[in-house]
Amino acid sequence: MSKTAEMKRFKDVLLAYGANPENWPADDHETLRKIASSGGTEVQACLREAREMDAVLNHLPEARVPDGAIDRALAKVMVPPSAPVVDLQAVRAQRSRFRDAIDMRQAIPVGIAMAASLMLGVLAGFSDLTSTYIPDTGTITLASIDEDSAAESLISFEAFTFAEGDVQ
Amino acid sequence: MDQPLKQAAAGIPAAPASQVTDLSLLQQVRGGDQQAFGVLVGEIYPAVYRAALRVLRQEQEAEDVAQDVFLKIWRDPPELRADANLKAWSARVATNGAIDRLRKKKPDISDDLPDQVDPAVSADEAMQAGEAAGAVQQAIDHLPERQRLALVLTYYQGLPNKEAADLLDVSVDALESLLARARRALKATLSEHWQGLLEDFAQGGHNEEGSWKAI
Repeated sequence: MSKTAEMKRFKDVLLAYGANPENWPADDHETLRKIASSGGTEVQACLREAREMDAVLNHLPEARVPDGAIDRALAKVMVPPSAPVVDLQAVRAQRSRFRDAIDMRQAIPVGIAMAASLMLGVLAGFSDLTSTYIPDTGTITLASIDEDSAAESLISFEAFTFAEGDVQ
Repeated sequence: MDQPLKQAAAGIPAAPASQVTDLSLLQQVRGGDQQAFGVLVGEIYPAVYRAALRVLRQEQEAEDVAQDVFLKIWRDPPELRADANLKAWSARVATNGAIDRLRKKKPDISDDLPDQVDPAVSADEAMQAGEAAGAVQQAIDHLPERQRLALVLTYYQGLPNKEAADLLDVSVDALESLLARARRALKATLSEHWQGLLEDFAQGGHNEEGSWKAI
């Protein structure tokens, strides 16, 4: 490297890294140290300028560590492995859907039982009514409803009320 | 035989006392010693936090990065050489973490002017208020982002130029160009107050610790 090139590199390094040789790139150390110690006027002027900038950069105070920051770091690190985070909203929604599904399962047999009871009651009543139909008068007497069909109707009614109460 | 004696016997230069302490603490941390870990965090937290803060300039984010560093140390303590400096290693991990975080926020760290500058005071206002260090801080904060980071990584974090260049995704030549432009820009910004700054610093007059948050 020529003297001119060495001097240019010296100025470039001072401008980039400052006047402290410890901050200079290792590859340039030896050459630049020789130039720095040569004592030429230009060299001294470059070094002085770089030192001034270093002085300005050096005098910034260190930032204060926020109060409690170390405790927060320790708390975060030392926290025991926790259970997976549960989304309460999702759990509630799922529970609600499950409850609805249970209700539906209860409602279906209850509905079937009610429908069957109703049909049985109607059929039983219809068969009794047809057997007691009196064409001549066209009326239906209370006496025509026998005890069995009355009991059947009562069971149907109880089944209905039981099912209602159960659902609630 | 204790650690320094072992090293001396092996012909390895002994690390400074604080490093020995850090490394022996690290050894205990590796064995799950929570108390040793607490001591270690207390010792090196400021360096780790400041390294992250210099890059990110936001206290909360710097704290998050510092916490990540200590989580990493606790879960997977590094295997450092006997002459390694745990504090420097941790600060470097924090710097990398902070740069990663910065990239996620801003994928292309450009040479544009910073889009987020501390609104507190300008360099001129700080000088008028007699806060020389504040004026320098403001001038640094107003540098284009890559110039600021180049200065922070090489000057304040002390990274080797190759490593700083890699972190910024630039060549070493480009890093030197960024550094030179940063220094020129700072001098231009502070030119009116240059002599005053030098006199102030020569007298040891600057803000108390913590007055300026970034550096």
